[in-house]
Amino acid sequence: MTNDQLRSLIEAIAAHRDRGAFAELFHHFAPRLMGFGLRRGADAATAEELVQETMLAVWRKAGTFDATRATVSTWIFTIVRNKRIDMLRRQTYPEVDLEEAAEIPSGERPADGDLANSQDEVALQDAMRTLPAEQLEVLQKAYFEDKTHRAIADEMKLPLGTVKSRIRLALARLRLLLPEGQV
Amino acid sequence: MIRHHPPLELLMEYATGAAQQGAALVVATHIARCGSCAAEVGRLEAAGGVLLHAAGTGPVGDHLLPALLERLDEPALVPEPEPHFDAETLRLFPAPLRRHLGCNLAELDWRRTTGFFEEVVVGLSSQGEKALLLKLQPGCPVPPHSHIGHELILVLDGGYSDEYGRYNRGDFGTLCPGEVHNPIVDDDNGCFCLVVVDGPVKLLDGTDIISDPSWI
Ligand SMILES: [Zn+2]
Repeated sequence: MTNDQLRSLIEAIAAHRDRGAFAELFHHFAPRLMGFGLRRGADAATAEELVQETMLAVWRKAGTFDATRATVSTWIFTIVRNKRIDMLRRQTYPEVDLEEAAEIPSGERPADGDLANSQDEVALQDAMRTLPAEQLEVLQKAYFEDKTHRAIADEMKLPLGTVKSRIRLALARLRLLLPEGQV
Repeated sequence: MIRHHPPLELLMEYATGAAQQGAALVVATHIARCGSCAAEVGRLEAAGGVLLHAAGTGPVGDHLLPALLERLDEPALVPEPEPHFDAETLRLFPAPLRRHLGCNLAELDWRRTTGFFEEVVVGLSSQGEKALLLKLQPGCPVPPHSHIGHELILVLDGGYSDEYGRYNRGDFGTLCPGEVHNPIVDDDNGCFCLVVVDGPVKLLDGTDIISDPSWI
């Protein structure tokens, strides 16, 4: 499903608690979320609970989804990331709501639509497919297994610098690095 | 104008969920004041979205959707209402920090234990991470000290200077294990900061600069 299709499902849930739309969204995301949970090393029961908690949050928070800030997949990624931390670490991940960030001058706010539209997401998906396997592997470990650079280096028996440079190369290729080369 | 930002590695750990609780708190609090880091984290989260979209799938049992549909009408846990935050608390503490503290500035239990500053511990993790708010008086020199672990410093108000530069409201300082610094607090406003350490912080004669190092 494209981002526009997914977005209209979220909007149908937000507007009139559409259970059919929710079921469609479930069919798209539940297998992916299950794969995500299992990859993190959870047992099947825990991974199922993670899927349930995430999809329940999608149902409840559909009205807060802001299509100008994130694609549906990105929004759901942040939900499952936070739920995984709630469940496995029993902690509440500190979240940032840009609506509350009154101190950021309007000129410096992330532009609406920055990486949030379907075309950008398709371009990003294409770029992801062209990543060398060794770069994709470290990215997957970082995102799916929430491992620090140090933990990835230890596990793969690679120097920390190698892990850092693979991640930087991958992010540069995906055009996800700060344009002005900050840091 | 914010000049010092968290390193990319830390923004990435925040975006992937790998950051420990204290590090995540200080990064989130910085982002609430920093548009460029907010945008960078947004881009890093977008990579997570694409990876999730392309992810390998796991087996979903047939019982899962009906079970979930049953639960849709369950009442959600109502979060505790936020306390009324006064103007000074709103000025000093961005939203992620306010939510974490759940109280006003005046209700914090400040202690002066080492003579250099007042401190209040606002978070401890089982990984030995410790989050503190520090209040340093104007012009106060903090003696040179070194870090056994990492130190992350977010200036909430006022500022300081050290070997690495000037740090003003919103700036983010990062010290790696073994680095020594000798911060000098601004003369006019003092310095109010959120600090996260994951190991002891020692004066050069070996005494601890932060009280009650629970990791020892
Ligand atoms: Zn920043």
